[in-house]
Amino acid sequence: MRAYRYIKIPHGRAVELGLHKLRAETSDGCIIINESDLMTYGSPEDSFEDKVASLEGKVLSNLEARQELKK
Amino acid sequence: MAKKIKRIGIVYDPLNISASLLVQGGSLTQTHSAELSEFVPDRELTPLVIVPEAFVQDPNGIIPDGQIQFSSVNWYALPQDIAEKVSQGTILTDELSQYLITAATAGYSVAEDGTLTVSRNVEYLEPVMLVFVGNYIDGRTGRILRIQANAVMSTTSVAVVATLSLDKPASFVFNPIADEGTRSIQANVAIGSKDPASLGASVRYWWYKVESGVETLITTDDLFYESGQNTSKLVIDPEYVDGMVCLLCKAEYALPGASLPSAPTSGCLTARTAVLRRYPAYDFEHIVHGGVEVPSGATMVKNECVVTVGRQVLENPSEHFSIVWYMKRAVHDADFMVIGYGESISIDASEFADGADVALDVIPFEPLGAMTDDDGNTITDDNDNIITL
Repeated sequence: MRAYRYIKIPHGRAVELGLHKLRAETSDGCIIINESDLMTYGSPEDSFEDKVASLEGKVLSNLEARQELKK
Repeated sequence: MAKKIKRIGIVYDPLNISASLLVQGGSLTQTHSAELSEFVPDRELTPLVIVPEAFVQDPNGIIPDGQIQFSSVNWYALPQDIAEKVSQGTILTDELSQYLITAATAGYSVAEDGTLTVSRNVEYLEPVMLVFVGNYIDGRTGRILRIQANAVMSTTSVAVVATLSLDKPASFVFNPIADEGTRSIQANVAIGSKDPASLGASVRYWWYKVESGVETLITTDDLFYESGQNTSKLVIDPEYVDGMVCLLCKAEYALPGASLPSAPTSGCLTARTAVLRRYPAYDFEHIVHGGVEVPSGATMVKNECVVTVGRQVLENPSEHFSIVWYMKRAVHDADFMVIGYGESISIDASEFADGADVALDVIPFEPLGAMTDDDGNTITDDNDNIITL
C-alpha cells in the first residue's frame, strides 16, 4: 500500500481552496489537508507534486502530520 | 336548542421535501492497515465533514421552493447492532437517546447549522451509522416536520506486507586471491514501503548459520564471525569460511505498544545468503632458467614457479598458494622428496650430474582456522582467545 500523504499549506491557500473551515490548523497558522483534498484542485494534467508546489505546501507522512498538530 | 358547529379550515397539500447529507471533506469509508496502524484517510488529521441539506417544494405554491433552514438538528452515531434495531423498529426512544451526539461526545462535533465534523476513525468491522434528524416548521400550518437522513461510516482492512531483505545476493563469492578484508551483510526490514523507525516500530534481528539444514545461532565460537549478532548488520571474515557457509537472518518487528519476542517466532521474517570462499581457475608452470640441459660449467640451477589466473601472471603467488618443490634422483626405487618451498628454488648443479627430476606442486591455502595441538585441541591465549592461523 502506497503511503497516504498529507500536506501542510499556508492558511491563505486553504481559504482559496475552501478548506480552512474543514481542516485542522497547526500552531503556526497553517492547515493540514490530505491528498484527496487535492483531487479536484488544478488541472487533471497537474501532478501531485505540481499541485503541492503551487500551494506552497509541504508533503507530510501520517506521523509527521500528527506531530505538526501536536506542536 | 344547541348551536350546530362545523370546523372549517384550509387543507394544504403535503410539502415535497428531499434531504441529503453532503460530504464536504473526507470520505465515509476508510481503509486500515493493521501493520502500519494507520487509517486512510486519518480523520484525526483530516476530519470528515458532513453538511445536511433539505429542499422543499410546495404544491400549493405558498412556500417558495428551495433550501430550507432547520429549526433544530440532532445527530446520532449508532453502532451496527443498534442501527439494525432501529431499522427493525425494536428500539425504544430512551435507548436511542444515549447515542445522541452532544458536545461531550468524543470525536464528533455539531455546528449550529447542523454540520457534523467527525474526527474519530472507525474500526474495521465496526461500522457506525450516522442518523441526522432535523426539524422544519411548515410555515403554512406552523406544524413541525421531522426530516431524517442516514449515512454509514465503515472501514476496510488492507494487508501490508512486511519484508526482510539483505544487501547481498542469494550467494556471493570471496576470492582469496583478489579479495581481502571483512564482508558485511546488511539486513533491511520494510513494512509496506516504510522504514519501521518512521512508524515507531522496533525490530530485532538474529543471525544463524545453516549446516545440513540445521540452523545454529552464530556466536563468537564461529571463527568467521566478527560482529553484528542481534543487529541489522552482520560482519564476517570470509578467510575463515571453509568452502561455503549459509547465513540466515531472522527478524521480528513490533508496532508501537507491542513488544518484541525474546526469540524469533515461527512467523518471523527470514532472508538468507551464502558465502563461498573459492579460488578462481588457475594454472602453473615450472620454468627452469637456462633450460633443462644444464651446461657442464654451471654451478646452480634456478627453478621458478609461475602461476597464472586467466591470462594474467599472478604476482607473489606464495601469498596465496603453498608452492612445494620435489626432486627424484635417477636411481632405482628413488621417490620424490620435498626439497623446498617458495616461488623459486636454486639447486646445486651437481645434483643433476646423473640426472634428476624436479617436480612442482601448487596448493591453494586452506581457510584460516583455529590452531590446534597434536591431539586436535584448540589452542588459546591467556585470555581464552582462540589463536588462529
